[in-house]
Amino acid sequence: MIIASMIVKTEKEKAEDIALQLKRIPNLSTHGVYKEDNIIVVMEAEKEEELVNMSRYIMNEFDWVLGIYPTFVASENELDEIKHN
Amino acid sequence: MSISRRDFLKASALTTAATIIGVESLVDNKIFAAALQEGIVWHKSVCRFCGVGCGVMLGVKDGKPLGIKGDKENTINAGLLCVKGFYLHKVITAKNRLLYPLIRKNGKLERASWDEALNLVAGKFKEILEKNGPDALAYYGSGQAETEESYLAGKLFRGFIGTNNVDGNPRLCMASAAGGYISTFGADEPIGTYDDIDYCDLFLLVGTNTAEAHPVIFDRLVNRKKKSPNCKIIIIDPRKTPTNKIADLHIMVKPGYDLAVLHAIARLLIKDGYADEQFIKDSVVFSNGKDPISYDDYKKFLEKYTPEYAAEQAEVQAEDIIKIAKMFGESPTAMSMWTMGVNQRTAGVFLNNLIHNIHLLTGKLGKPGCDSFSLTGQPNACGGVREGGTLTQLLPGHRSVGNEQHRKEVAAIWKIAPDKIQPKVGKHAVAMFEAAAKGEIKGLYVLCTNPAQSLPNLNKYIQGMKDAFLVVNESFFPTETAKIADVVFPVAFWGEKEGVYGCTERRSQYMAKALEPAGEAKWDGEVIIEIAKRMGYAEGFQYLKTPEDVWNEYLKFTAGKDMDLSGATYDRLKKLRGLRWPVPNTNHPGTWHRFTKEDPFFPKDKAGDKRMYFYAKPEGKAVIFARPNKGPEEPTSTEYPIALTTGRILEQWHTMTMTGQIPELLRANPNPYVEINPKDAQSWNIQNKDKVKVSTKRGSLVMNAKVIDRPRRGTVFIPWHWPESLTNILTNDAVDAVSKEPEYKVAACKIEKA
Repeated sequence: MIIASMIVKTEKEKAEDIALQLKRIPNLSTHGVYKEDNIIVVMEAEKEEELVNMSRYIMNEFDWVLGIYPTFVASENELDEIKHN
Repeated sequence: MSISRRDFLKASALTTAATIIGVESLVDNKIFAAALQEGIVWHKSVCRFCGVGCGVMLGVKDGKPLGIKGDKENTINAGLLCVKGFYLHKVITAKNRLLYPLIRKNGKLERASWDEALNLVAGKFKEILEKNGPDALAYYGSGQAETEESYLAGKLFRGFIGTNNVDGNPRLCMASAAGGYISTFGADEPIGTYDDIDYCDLFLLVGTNTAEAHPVIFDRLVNRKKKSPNCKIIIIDPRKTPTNKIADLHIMVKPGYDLAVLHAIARLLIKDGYADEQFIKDSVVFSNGKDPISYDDYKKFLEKYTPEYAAEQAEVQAEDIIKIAKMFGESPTAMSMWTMGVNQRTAGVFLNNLIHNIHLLTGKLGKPGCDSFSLTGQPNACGGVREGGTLTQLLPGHRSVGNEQHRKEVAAIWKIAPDKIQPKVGKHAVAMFEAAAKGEIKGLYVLCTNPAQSLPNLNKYIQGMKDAFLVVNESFFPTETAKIADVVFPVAFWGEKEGVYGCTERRSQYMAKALEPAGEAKWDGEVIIEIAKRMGYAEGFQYLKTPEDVWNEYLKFTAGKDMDLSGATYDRLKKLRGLRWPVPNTNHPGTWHRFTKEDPFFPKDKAGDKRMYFYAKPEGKAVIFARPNKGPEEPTSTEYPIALTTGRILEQWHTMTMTGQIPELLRANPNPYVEINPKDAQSWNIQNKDKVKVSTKRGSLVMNAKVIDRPRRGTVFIPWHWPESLTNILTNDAVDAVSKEPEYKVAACKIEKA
């Protein structure tokens, strides 16, 4: 299982709509629209290539998406539980 | 409190994205981020892929590469990375890293010691030199090598072995841009920088899929368009791409027939009163390519290029050409950008000239928001190759082989006899491999590139490479070229060595060494120095102990030149996010616009009141060229009725030597394909995913059909990345008469179901 994040850049006036639509995609969670047109998306997936596949899918399927830039990826399996107080 | 690994990672993912956008952390994530980064040392560097020059930070923990993040402090990308750059750290630890030298024995590449491999290469090169002369040897380098590496190779081959058979893969991608800049403005590389994007009101994109080939530049265009509602984007390209998402107007020209369109735009700009007559009077002369002509002569030359004529040539609408001219003319600022669709043509230099023409006619140059700006394909093609002097006609510091004074200056710094550097230009890339095929070149040193996949009309050249004594510096094995080499040296990859890259906008940036080289790999520079010593040239090389020593020697070549880097010392470059030349001293901040009062070499006495003075030209005037309307070398025919064009996709880069090592990228587009317009597919009775055979005069390939509304009708597009399906078997090796760059972008083909 991997956890990844990306910034989805959209047309300004379409950002909220696209954020809603992205929420409907399984394994994706959106975390708001920032600075008018940047949507933060976090993805959970079985395989790491899903980040690349999802980027291409969103770019191709959503007309008003203007760019997707990955920001983070890590595997859930690499470490055990982390504790902090 | 305890949290699960999953929650921790989700919080970190969120924080990282928020940080890049520049918003406050969304939750109490700083703690998570700090925990994640514990023990990681971040090293400042530059992305290893395209020519944009994005700043990256390479994270290292316990001597291992742990991750990449965009460098927020780098003004080029402000922390943003495309998907290739994002996975760059994974290339370092790829399974197929080459860890020790290989020597061909009894037809097979076998493990060898460094001494054995170095002695073999030095001995064989000396033998060839003594028996066949210096021109039986050749160096073929790369726009991905560091400047220090390219410089050392050029020094060895030109100054000590004594051949100008020194060329590199930028010949295949940007030689036409260099030829265009030099012929029009007298000096190579753009006048402006990326800063102009933030002031530009009209972008003319010609033959570039910026969204996929230069994603971070695309994002800057997106941002500009959002900030400035009047900003317009025009595309001239035979294919729809993701770049179209921001286009206001796109004309899908017939591949190879766009010169008439540029002439028609120039004609309309003059006719409709958009020409900056004062600028033309002050800073422009006219030429037909052989002789000077007058402005009136140029106007007469343009008469036939009516919008209707150009539209007929390019198979577009005349009214769209009129719209483009009007938009360009009316816009207060304008930038043109282009890549391989312009350069990889037998009329590549001409087309570069014609783009420059419309900027010169309107004076849209040398001021914020205006430039005629070539986008570069490789990270150090500008720095190491065009500036470092490793194209056959060049010497370091924008000097020319054919110039006696330049040869003397180079010889003085290298402490060699002035006549050691031959006055005659050597063999350019295609001619070099042609000479190998004929047996004229017998020893070939290939550094950081993969010609056995990247040369056009490949079948013509492979045997020659096999027959020659072929030496390859490479970090990965196998590559198509390493497979047929006689000796393969394992060399340090990005992150395992320090050095300088010079990107598209004249910016030189330092890259830190963050890791020790894998296995027995060595810095390419060390390999070159060792070969030089073993060939008997120790005096020219043994004092160069570090990359910084090499850089400091190279800086001597730039002092006082238009590309002065004297102020770009290692010390300074380590602290800054690069410097844009000319930067003549260590207090100088670098230069935004060349040939203007901002330029430290602007000759105020000669320029007087002129806004721009092109001091690399005799009268300080740039040239508007009346170039002939040249079509493609291989027009479509009855036998081959379809235009074939080739190019790149977002997730892969060039011959996949690097991106092919990243499973996440590889799996995104695992199989070769040809894009076919849906209407063409219907008429050819081809369905999506059908196996089809694509043939040109030079060969055939079988691949999947991808039926998609991207290429114009009558044109198909094939990405050229996959080594198991060598697209360049199909491409044409005809070259531009001036730049010698091959016409990868246009060939005639036929398609049938396989």
